[in-house]
Amino acid sequence: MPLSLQSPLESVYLLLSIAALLDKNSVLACSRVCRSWHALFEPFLWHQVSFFRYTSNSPHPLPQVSKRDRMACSALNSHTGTNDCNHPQRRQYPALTQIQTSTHHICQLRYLGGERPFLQQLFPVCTQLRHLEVTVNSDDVKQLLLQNTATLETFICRSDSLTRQTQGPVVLDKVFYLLAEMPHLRVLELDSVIVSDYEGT
Amino acid sequence: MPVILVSSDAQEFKVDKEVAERSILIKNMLEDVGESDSPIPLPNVTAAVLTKVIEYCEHHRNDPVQVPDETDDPRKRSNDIEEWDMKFMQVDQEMLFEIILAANYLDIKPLLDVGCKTVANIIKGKTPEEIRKAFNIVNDFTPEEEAQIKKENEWAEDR
Repeated sequence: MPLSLQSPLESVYLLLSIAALLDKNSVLACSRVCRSWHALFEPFLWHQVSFFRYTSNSPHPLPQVSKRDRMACSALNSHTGTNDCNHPQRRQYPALTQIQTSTHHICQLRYLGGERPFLQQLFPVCTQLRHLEVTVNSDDVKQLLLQNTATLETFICRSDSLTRQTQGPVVLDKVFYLLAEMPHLRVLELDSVIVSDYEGT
Repeated sequence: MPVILVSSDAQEFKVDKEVAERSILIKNMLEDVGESDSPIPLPNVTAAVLTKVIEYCEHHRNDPVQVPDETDDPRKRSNDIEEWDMKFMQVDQEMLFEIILAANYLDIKPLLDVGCKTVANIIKGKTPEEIRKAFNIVNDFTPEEEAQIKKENEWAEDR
């Protein structure tokens, strides 16, 4: 610690410790305080990101979709060309360029009901994921697992009704050897459809 | 066996070894030096701050050593300051900041945590302008930048 330090707010280390204690809205407020705080706090906004495909007229809305998740889902919809009728007035999603430049900050990614090309396009640089929850299964997911073997603690793969309708059953194939390599993996949730599909193939 | 700590303004404090060793810095120093009764200079800590820090260490002298738990989500712990600590932290901002810096320097993790939580609690629920005011921070954004940032990060807002 330099002797000249007058305030903990001058220490990046201490500010980061404080940032880790804040809820998202407070982090957001902090990121708007001044330039140095912006640089320091903004990555925290990306630590936990959820993407949902969800429309209010969808016949099978995903369960447990919170207000924030709906906002994230409209991000997905807006980039995949689906109309979202929930909050047409407000801009609730990060711009595509923003997502592309900030994905490396993501530690917790929930990507439910989304489409493959979107995932592939957006998350090639996610390399510090600790929590991954997906409903899509494709080489992209495998790639994400591969990139994050060192850090992943939780991997949840679900097949929701919406995905089943559009993509057929989720098949989790040839990833178990990857999961076995993960030193920190503690939570593994695969729903019955996936497991039976796996066993059947 | 008591240990003598000397503040930056040359005041001497006699404290039990057990209390002094709440500070990892001092604990390591004592281990390095071995049996010795020479005073330990703490050039970064004033007597006023050291008094507070010792008060904290006295109160927590029998606490078990904190085991860092990686699974612990700091967000969930942010408000759980125990009552005594909460009262202990009811000081003016200058003192609060000095306690945090001292805890950082002396490597007293639980005290540092309580200090950071206290600052986090000050920030919570405030607007950017209120935060600037609370900590005397100058807004160096241009109005255009400010508008741009607000728009860019609107998606992250929890409503």
